[in-house]
Amino acid sequence: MPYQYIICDPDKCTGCQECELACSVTKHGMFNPLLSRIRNVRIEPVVMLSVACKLCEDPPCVISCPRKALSQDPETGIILVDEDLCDGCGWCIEACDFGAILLNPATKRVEICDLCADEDEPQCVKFCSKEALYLATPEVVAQRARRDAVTKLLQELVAS
Amino acid sequence: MRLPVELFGLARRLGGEKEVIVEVSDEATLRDVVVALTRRFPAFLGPLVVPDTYELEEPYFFNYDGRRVAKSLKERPQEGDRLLLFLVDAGG
Amino acid sequence: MFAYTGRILHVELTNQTTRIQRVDEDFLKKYVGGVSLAARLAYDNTPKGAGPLGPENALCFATSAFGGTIVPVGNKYGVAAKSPLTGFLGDCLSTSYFAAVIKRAGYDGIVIKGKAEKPTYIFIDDDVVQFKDAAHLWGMETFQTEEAIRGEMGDELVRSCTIGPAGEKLVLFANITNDRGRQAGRCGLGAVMGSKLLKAIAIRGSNPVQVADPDRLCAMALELGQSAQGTKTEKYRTLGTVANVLSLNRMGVLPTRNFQEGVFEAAEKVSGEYMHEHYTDKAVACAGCPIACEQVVSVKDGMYKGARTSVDYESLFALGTSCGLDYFPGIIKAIELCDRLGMDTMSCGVTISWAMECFERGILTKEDFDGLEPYFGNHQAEAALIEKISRREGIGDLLAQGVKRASEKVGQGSEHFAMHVKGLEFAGYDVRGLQTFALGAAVGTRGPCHNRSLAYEADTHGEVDRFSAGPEKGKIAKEKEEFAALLDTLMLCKFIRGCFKDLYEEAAQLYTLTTGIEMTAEELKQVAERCWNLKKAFNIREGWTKDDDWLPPRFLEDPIPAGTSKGYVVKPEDLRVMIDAYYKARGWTLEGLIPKEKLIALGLEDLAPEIGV
Repeated sequence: MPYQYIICDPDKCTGCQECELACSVTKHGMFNPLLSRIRNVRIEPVVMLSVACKLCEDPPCVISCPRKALSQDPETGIILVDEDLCDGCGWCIEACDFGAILLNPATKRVEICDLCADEDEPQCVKFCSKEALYLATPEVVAQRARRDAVTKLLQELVAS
Repeated sequence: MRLPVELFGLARRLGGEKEVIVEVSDEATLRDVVVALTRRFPAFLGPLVVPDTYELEEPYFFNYDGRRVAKSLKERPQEGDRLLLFLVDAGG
Repeated sequence: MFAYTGRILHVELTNQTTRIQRVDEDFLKKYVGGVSLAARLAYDNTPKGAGPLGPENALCFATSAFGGTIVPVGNKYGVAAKSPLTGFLGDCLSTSYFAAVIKRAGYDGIVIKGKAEKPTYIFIDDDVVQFKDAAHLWGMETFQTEEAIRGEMGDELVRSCTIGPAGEKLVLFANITNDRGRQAGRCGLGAVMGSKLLKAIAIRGSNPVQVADPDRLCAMALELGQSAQGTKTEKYRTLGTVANVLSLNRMGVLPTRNFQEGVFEAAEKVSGEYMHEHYTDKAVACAGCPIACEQVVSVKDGMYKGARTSVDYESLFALGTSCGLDYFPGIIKAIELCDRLGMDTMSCGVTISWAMECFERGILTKEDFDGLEPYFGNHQAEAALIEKISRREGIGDLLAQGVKRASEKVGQGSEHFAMHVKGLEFAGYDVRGLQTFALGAAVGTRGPCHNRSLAYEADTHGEVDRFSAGPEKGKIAKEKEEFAALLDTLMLCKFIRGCFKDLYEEAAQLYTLTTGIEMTAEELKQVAERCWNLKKAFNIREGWTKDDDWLPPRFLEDPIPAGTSKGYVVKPEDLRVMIDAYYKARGWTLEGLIPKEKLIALGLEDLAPEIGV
């Protein structure tokens, strides 16, 4: 079954980084991008995109963990961190192609986006005022892209 | 009467024109002008004009020939008036 | 303490020492942040009579309660120092990530005094402050410097504010740049940094920011963020502030060719609408902003192919319509140059406009311009002049001093059209057709600033008759100033003001939820009034008299020649009446000085002995 994960639309993202604050306050009760599981990248002046865990198939982070502290929930695809086993070595961070894992400097354990398992909805999506962030499966992402492309191409027909 | 209305900003973008002539009765109010404009440009409804009341969404307002700002849509324009559907705001 | 840190970092460049000044909640509640806090720090740390380009001039940064939190448009910082352009208080504000890292590094403010022995940059790594050699950075452009520092540190989270070559050369309107495209633009604060041989302030802030009531604050922030997507900010989001061009032109108050006229025949070609169609790439945001007003534009072909920057109305008027440019790529290039070299586009543009008029009148010749022929509209000459000014080369040395000093040196009647007040060049509004702003511009503490005054709103929105100048304008100008001061102190971007139903009430609520400090709308009003009087007190201490509150001769003597505002001029007797009414509305004397009782009532009793009358 395809997993849903957080996607960011680069055409809509303005680089405001509110998603980082929404995440850190939800998970830690305070505002600090260093404690956010979703991170925004700005390559000035116009390239902006937020990146969170992509819930990979055969996740490299899970495979790489020497203490088997990471596992993937088969239903949701979320990466689960066993805090007793994790010792903050950071090997998973190196294994992840997307930089989607954070090491909490205070607890020395890693944290990974869990789609706000304890909330109604992912808070980054809720706070993104440009609606650049959304939760979707790869199929839905492809559908959107196809629809946008077709709409642009055949604007008049679609409008009528 | 026929009133010229110059369009600025969003009004121009939605309407696709810089200036239009609207046809309204001689006793028409500015609100009637708004109604006439939305009939001509349905895209105004929502972003520019509040449905039901036909109030103009902030920060848009009517200006008479660039000289005088209309205080309310109850005002009655006269034959020969030139209206601006207008906005001005903080520079940066 | 929530949201605030209670710490002001003091840096002494001369002997490379630092100390922490602790401030309590009473102090912070009084000054709140931003421009107000920066002004207080400037007042306390810059001695009377200090040379603006000397070591005693304290460069003071201040963030706000909202910095580093989820409050939308709350990531701004204020900077204040004695301005080398005016000799009075130069208070600026800038925005985005740099503001947030000041807070996360652990400070509510930073005060920089002294002068380094050689080009230096400061690196603030939470509570460790390092003084680093900037020889390899000296001469670099603004954003280039920021990227170089980031590269050196190997950490993209390091944010910097920098000066460009213009600041190094002490161009009197050099600015301070941060986060690529944001500037503390006016009043020459970049020259203050340059005079200290301070190339940059780099900060890494890794601490969290905690607020008193995160749940309710987030709920309010979410609502504000959503209302900021509506039509109240549409203008900023889709066109940016440049939408003003056609509106002001239609009203006949678009500064054209050094404010000679109020209508520009080529306005359509330099309008926001035109820009959006041909040059806009994307609108991007500052840290924590749901609006995203920064219009990044680029030139795709022609002689300026590749020029890329963000365009706002004020830059567009100063380097565009005021210089008679009808070629948009030329304007983009000019703005880009100013941004890269680190100069205030407004002062630069208005100074060049003056120079162009001097050339057209034969007061300055081709020889004076080292072979250039800067007639109005000559974008190539404009670009060349900008470069010369940044290097203080040839005529650039004269122009780098701003239009007041340049016109005093050149004389021959050029003072008549030197468009400044107190030495700060004008903003993009022809006050002959916006007479409430005529007052606001004359009395503004940092100069003729639309941002601090907001009086033009009364004119453009028909709250008053824009062509008349009467005593009722005094109270209006005061109220507008205080509204602006409030936003500049809380540090909320003015662009969001249309999204509040009752700004004072809601802002007080936001403040309390953030800091845990009880604040009412009434108290916020007092904060704003206190801020304005504090800035005024600084000026009075530095020798301000009411003669400094006036307008350039052009506005008083030359009627607007054409357009909707044709024939209007600001009559001196009217201006006098308005200014007197303004002083009265402010509770000041007829000389514009502040009575002791007023200072005491505002909680500025420590200023009363020296300033109060």
